[in-house]
Amino acid sequence: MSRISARGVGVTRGGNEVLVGVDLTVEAGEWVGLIGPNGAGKTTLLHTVAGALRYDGEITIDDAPLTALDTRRRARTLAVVTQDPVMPPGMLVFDYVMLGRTPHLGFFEREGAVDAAVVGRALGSLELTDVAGRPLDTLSGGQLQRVALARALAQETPILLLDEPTSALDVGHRVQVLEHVEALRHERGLTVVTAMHDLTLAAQFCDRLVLLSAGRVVAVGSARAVLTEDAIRRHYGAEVTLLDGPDGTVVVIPLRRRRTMAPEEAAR
Amino acid sequence: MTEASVPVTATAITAPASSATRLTPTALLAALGALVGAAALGVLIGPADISPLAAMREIVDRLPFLDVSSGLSDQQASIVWQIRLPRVALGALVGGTLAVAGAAYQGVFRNPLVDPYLLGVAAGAGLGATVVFAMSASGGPLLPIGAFAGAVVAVVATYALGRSAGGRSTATLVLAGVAMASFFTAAQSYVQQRSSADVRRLYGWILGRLSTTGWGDVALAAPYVAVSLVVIFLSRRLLDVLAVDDAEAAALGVSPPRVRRWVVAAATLGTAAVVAVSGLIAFVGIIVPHTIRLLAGTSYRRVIPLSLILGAAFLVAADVAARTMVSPAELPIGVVTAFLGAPFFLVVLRANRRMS
Repeated sequence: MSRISARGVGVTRGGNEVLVGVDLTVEAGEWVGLIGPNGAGKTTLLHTVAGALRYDGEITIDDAPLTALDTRRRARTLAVVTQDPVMPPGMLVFDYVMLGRTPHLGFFEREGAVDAAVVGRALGSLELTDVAGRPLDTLSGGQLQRVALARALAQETPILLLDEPTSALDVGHRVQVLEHVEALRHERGLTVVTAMHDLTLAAQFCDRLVLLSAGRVVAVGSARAVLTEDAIRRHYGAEVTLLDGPDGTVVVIPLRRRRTMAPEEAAR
Repeated sequence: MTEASVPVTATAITAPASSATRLTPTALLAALGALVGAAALGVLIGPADISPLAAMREIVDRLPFLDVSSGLSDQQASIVWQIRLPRVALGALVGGTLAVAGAAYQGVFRNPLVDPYLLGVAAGAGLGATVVFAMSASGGPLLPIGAFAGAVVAVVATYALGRSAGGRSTATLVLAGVAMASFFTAAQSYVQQRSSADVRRLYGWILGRLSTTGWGDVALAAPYVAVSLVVIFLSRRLLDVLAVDDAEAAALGVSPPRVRRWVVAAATLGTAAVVAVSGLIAFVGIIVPHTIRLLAGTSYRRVIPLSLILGAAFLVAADVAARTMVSPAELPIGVVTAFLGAPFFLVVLRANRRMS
C-alpha cells in the first residue's frame, strides 16, 4: 500500500508551463482517474509522479520525497504504462513482459524461476499465454496494449500509473482489463492512477476523478461531483447529456452540436 | 482470444510452459556443431601435403589415453600444431569477438546498422596501430594498446559528433561513424606515408590477415577479449532492456548511460584487441548477429552467445576458403568474408521473408 502526495507541483517544458500548482493526494489502495481535454496535462502529471520529469514543488511517496528514491527503488515502487510504449520489433511477448522484472534483479543478475512464474501469471491474467512466444510485431493494437500492461504487472509495484490503458481495446476487452486492474487493486492493495478519456468508464472504475484543464486541477471528487454538463462544456468544449449509471455512477453521452442534413432533406 | 468468460481475478491464471528467453539446447548444439565442423576443416585442410586423415590422427594422438600413430614427419606435425591450430584458434577468437562486439554495439545504440566498422572503431584502431608501427617497426606488445587508444578516440568522437548533430537517431549515428571512419582512415594513410616503417607489412595488416600467426597472436589478444566478452555476456539481459527507449528503461530501474558506457567500453576493447592482431576484417560484426536475429529471434540472451560461436565458425570457415581457393596463394580474408557473407545473408533474408 502506497500513498502519493503532490503539493504545488509545476512543470515547465520548452518555456511553457504544462502543470501549474498541482495538488493531488492519492490514498493507499485508491484508484484515481485523471481526466481532462487533450493537452490538459494528464500525461505530464503521470510522468512527473513517475519521476521521469523535472518539477517544482513536492511529491512524496509514503511521505518520502520522490527524489530520494534511486532509479531502481523507484521502479520497484511505481510501474508506468505509457500511452505509446516502445515495442521493439522481433522481441517475443514473453521476453518483453520479462523486462518488468528488471528492477528486482541486480546489474548482472539473471532471471530465475520466480521471475518466470510472475511473468507467466501476468500473461495468463491478461489472456496472453497463447501469444507468449510470438514476436511483438505480429500482435494487434489491443493485444499490444495488454502486453504493455502485463509488463507493468510483472513489475509487482504497489503503485500502478496507467496512461490511457484501454484506448486501443474493443469494449469487451476494455471492461475486462479495467476489471482486472480492479481485482488486482483489491487483492494486492494497489494504488492506481489512470489518465482516461472515456469518462463513463472513468466514472465507473475510479474512486475519485481529478479534472485537469490547461495544466491546473479544476475539480476533484466523486464522478457525480466532477462530471457535470457545465464542467464538460467549459473544459472539453463538448455538449453532453448525463444519465444515471449503475451503482450511482454517471453515464456521459456526447451530443452532436448540429445535425447535418440528410441528402433527401438537402434536395428539398 | 476467448470470450471474457474467465473469472477476472488475479488468481485465475496459468503460467506458460517455459521461458522463451533462454537459449535452446538445440540452437546451442547446432551452433557448436558448425564451429567444430569449421575448426576440423581448418585443421585438416591446407596447402601443405598432409592428408586430412593423418592430420586427424595427429590430433587424436595427443588426446589423453589415446595412442595412434599419424605417420607425419616432425615438420608436418609442426605444421598442424604451430600453423594450422593457432590459425584456427585466432580465427575463432577474432570472428567470435567481432560478431559479439557488433551485436553489442547494435544493442546499445538501438541501431541494426552499426558495427565496429561503421562506427569508426576499427578505423580508429587502425590509426592507433599504424602510429605504433610508425614509431617502432615491430609493433609488438604496444600494438593492442595503440589500437585500443585509437578505437576509444574514434567511438567517443563518433558518439559526440552524432549527438551534436541531432541525438542518437539511426541515420545520424551511422553518418557520424562513416565520417569519423573516413577521417581516421585518411589520418592513417597520412601517418603511413610519412613513416619509414615497412609499408608492405603494414598494408598486409590493414587488409586483414590470419596468415602470419603463431600462438603469440592468440596469447596477445586473448586477455583483452576475455574481459570484453565477460562484460558483454553479463550485460546481455540489460541489452534487452535498452531495446525499449531510454525513458522506459529508466522507468524499469536501469540507467541507460551506465549500461551504454560499460558495453561500449567492453566492445571497443575486444574489437581493438582483435583488430590489433588480425588487421581489419570487415563484415563479421554485422552479418553474423543479423543472421542470428533472423533465425533465432532478437533477444540478446540468444544473439550474444550464438554470435560468439557462429562468428567464430564463420571466420574459421572463411579462412579455410581464403587458404584453399587460389592455393598455394592466399586471398585476403576480408575479401572472402564479403564474398561468402553477402550472398549467405541474402539467402537468409529471403528465406525469412518467405516464412513470415
